[in-house]
Amino acid sequence: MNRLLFVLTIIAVAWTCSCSGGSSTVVPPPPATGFNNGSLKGAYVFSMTGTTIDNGTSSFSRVGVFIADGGGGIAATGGVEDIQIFGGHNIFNLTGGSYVVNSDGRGTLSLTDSIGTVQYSIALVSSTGGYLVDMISGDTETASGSFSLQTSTTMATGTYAFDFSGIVPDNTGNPISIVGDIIPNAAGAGSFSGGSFWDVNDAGALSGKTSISGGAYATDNANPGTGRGLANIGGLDFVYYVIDSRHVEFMGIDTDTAAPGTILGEATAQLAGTPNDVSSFSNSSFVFVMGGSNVTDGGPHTRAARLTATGGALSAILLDDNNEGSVTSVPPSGVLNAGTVTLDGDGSGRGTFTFTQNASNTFTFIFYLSSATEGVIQDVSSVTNGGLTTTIEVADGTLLAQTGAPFSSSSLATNYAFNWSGVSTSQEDFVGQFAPAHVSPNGQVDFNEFGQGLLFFNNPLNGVITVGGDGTGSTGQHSTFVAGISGTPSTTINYFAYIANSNTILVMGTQNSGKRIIAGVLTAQTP
Amino acid sequence: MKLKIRLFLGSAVLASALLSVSFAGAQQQQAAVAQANATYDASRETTLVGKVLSYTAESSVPPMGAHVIIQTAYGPVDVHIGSAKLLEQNHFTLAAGDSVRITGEVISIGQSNTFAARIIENGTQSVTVRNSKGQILQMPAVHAPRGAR
Repeated sequence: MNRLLFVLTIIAVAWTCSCSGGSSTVVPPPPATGFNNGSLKGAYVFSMTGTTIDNGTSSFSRVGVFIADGGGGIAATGGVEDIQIFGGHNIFNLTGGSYVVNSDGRGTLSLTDSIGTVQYSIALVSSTGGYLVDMISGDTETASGSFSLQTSTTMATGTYAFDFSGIVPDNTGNPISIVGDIIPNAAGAGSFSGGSFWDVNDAGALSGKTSISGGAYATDNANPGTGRGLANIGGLDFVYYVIDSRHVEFMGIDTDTAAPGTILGEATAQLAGTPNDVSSFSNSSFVFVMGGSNVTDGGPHTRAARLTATGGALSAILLDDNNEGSVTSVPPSGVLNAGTVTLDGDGSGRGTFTFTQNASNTFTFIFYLSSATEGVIQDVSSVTNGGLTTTIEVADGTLLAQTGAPFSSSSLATNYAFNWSGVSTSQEDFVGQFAPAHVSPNGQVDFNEFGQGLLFFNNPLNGVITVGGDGTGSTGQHSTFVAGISGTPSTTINYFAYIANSNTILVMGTQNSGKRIIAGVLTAQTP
Repeated sequence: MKLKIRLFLGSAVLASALLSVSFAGAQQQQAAVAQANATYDASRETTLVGKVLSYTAESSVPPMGAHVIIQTAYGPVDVHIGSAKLLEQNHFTLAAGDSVRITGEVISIGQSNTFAARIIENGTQSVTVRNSKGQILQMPAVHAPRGAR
């Protein structure tokens, strides 16, 4: 027996030596998943939001459409983009560009307009879309977002749930979150019907449910075939791009030079069967992640949670909070089993989640559903101190039903593309891909740390998802995601993972050192 | 007379608040919860005067961002500055031994209470790091990514 162990040890040592190759480190190539340049073909609507410095600092957004030829080229005509920057609105025709899609779905994209070329790092989820990060060289700028295959160019009728967020365009510089529903009364052009509402959180001042019927929208006939249009919603001006029969991307274009801001978001048409009464909820579990800033001093703030709705009652509530580096779980252990869920029942998809931790802390969230499994959500929670009740933060995000539970490591997808966005010394954005079951490192990541020389490409990544319990969090047991980034620079980012289903995992950074507030999403790849 | 009383009360409140944010310990932390404000109000601002003990651009102590610890007549005080990039862009430096005046207020953020700086003066240099509403300048919000299709 000892002789056998000795032989095995010799074999193991010999194998290790043969693999180590002297002093250099052999990094296994990232797993191929079957993507190539042909995976990106057609018109894609893209959107992103970020921060830039150019004789001042400004948040900014881009939204537009590019046309990929399936062979690495971007069409010289037919593409267009709108940019809201330094409080002003600009529109540019895209005049060309190029791209490369690697076998793992990661790649590069360059889009050229009359000002110049912007480089992006991309990660495809499928041929219908993916994530991107602004990796422009020579500028201090970062942004991240997504792109989606365009299959329609006309806004259809229906009830759309939307979530717009950013800096309110009224020269105050206030952070703002707007969630609501709009009901276009005709395809292509018209106004918004009665039953259109929004809820605004403007630096902690809450509008309550407010009618926004009226307004206007119309396809832009000066840029035919692009899906571009202009809209006025609740008195705010927007440019929009139609993605498909259910999805429209919006960007605010009001002038706001005193405190440059931008608002960006998406509207999603309701599907048949969208719950209209709480009786639709029967042991219905949801997860959400949201990002924004606190009301106290504008510092970055994220929240993620899971809860179960049955009728008008909430149970199995677990919420994680990262307020400017202070990380807490509510409750500290286990789950809360008391709370309420409401639905307005007017077809808007609007409802609320409410629960309390103690006499001082009331957690309230407003949501608008676009289906039984998807919606947008806004935080309107408050804290009472010395008799004064104050809204805690301005934040919003994605609400997803938890389906396919229980989860385990074997039920995870083979490959995930991801986008994380956060704040360290300033905004930072990450895009990449990994295969959970692959040997370490199991993927690669590109990231932008907002500064000259702070663009990083192809850093090895080891992404480890650990499923806690049945993966739902319903007993208070967290699932986690650890992103070990090696190369230069190297860092480890720890997340709580909220599993919506095996294809979509929402993540919220848990770094208690106070040096990074971050949130993101992992999405299964299907070449 | 009213002015003197107001100054006395102001000093007492400031001293109490500073002690609360300066020293760890359950009792002090509890006291600070009651004294710190959930929102910034420029009318409550006070001014700290002291020497820099240390400066860090990325503190491991919440709230995130740049912090400076200064030695005051009340003891050492941890002051939250916010964006280190803002100081860099203004070529504003803080080093141990520098004599500084810091205008701000004690506020409550998450589980922590902190003296939030709005204006920092170092010799002839001055930099504003928060606006009058207490919001950190050049500190972006987190944009939670949406899932791609």
